Amino acid sequence: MLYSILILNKAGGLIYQNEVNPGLNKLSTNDYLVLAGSLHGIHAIGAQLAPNIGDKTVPASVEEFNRNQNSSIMSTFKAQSPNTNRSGLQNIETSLFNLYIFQTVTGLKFMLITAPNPAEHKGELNKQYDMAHELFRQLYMLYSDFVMKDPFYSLDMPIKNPLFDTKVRELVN
Amino acid sequence: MSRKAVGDDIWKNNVEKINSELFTLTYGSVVAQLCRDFNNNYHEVNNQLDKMGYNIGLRLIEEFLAKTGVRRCQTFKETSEVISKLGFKIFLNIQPTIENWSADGKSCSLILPEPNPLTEFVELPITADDKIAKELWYSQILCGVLRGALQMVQLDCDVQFVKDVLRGDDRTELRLKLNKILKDEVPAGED
Amino acid sequence: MSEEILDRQTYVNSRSLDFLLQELIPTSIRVSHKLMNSQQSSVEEQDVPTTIDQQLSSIEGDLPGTVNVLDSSLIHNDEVTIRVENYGYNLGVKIAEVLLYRAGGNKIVDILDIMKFVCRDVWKCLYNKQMDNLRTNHRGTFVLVDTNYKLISALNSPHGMQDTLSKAKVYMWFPCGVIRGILSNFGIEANVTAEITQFPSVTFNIHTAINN
Repeated sequence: MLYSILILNKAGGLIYQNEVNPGLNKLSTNDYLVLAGSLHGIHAIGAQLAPNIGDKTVPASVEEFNRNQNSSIMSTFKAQSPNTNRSGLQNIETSLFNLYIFQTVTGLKFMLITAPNPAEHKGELNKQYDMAHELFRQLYMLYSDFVMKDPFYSLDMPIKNPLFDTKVRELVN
Repeated sequence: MSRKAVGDDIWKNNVEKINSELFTLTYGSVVAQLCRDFNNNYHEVNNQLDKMGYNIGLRLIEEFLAKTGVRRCQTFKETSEVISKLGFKIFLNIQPTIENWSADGKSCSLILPEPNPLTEFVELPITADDKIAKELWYSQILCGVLRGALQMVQLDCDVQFVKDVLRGDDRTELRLKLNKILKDEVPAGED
Repeated sequence: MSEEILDRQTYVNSRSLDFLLQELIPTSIRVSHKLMNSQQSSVEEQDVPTTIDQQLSSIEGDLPGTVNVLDSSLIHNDEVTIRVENYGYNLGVKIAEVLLYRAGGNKIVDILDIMKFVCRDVWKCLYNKQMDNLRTNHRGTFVLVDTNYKLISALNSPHGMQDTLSKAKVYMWFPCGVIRGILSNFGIEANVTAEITQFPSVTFNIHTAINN
């Protein structure tokens, strides 16, 4: 079950926040801004803390992964995942919630806060990952459809678009 | 006109299509009006088209990435392949070819097929004003779109037309040049 | 040629057209602004490529990616609305021929048929739906109603509904021009205006000199 959606622009500023289902304490708008900024920073620090620094083979495999994905898209014309978050902070699992962070090539971050893993899967991260990932893909498409096509929307600014809100709600329910 | 082979998932299923004439005629009326407004100062027209394209490119890139899932390209060769095989295909339903690579791999030519949705049935009134064939780049909006879109994936590029069939050349050729990768702006956490 | 040129149907992504139409209003404002201030701004002698940090015009705050250009007071200027209407008019004149050819079947005899053509075929081609209502007083005035007009149903200004409506009015000049262009192709001079009766429902008022 999805609790909340956060969208951050490439500078780490919060541009969209939607509490889809109640389940967590409500925060004030200011708190959300601070939360978003903190998560943006932590995500970046996570990339530096990753244990495979200095391992020369890792960057090469990332390049290979990207190259393979791109050539597979070009030859089959089938879409694949637009998530580029590999070494930054990806998921957090706690007893009260799970947090998933997805990032696009343009630097946009989508953060999904969901209910924690059910009791039988405790300690197994990524149980809900696929669901969250699919949601991210759909959200990214909604973003490109309704926010980019809004002639009154300025890039990197907060999203105040009732149509987008409606579509997000439809998607989640 | 034959259609593309089966397997075109993105174009077939994920893209809402309209008649290309509507697009051609809309673009045509904009260019014609701009020429009238600026009294045939074609450099002004080129610049306005470029600005329009740039704004479009900044937004269009998100749609492109969301619908395809393309990842960061490792070489500029890859970038230009993605642009021609996926980008042009998804938005304009054409597939340009790439030629004339420079020795350092940082610049190449994109050859646009003719006819394409921007220029189909268009003829420049060269007899009325011969300056037009020397100064107007009819499809300049494409340069803006490419530059804007690439800017958003942290690539600073030069894009300009070098030949145009509408001007009387043998083909329509765009020159793409990578100036630099905006390393500071690349988002953290990708590798 | 075994195939008639107009029988071949090629397609593009509808988004391409959407993006193009989205840029018409800001372009119109920039052009008007430049023409009005021609003494101050220099005449371009060369092609200047757009970059992310350069202003697109001397209007305040007009940087790529922003929509500050729409906040310029010029948006309600007649020059701008006439220009937007002209983009539509030029399109209407040309598209009428193509659509008429494709519509094939129904013979067009009088002005009512022309209006039906607009409501059915033209609207279907542009917006993938037909006009919802057509009324006439049989004295040359027609009222066309689209209850969910695609071009503006997605508009939403962060400054509130009033602002959305006032900006949407400018966007409405484009389809007015299209209709006027189509009618002019049939040899009919008309005056076309639009009002947003209840967002997103839109009414087009067409006044012609023809009695029917």
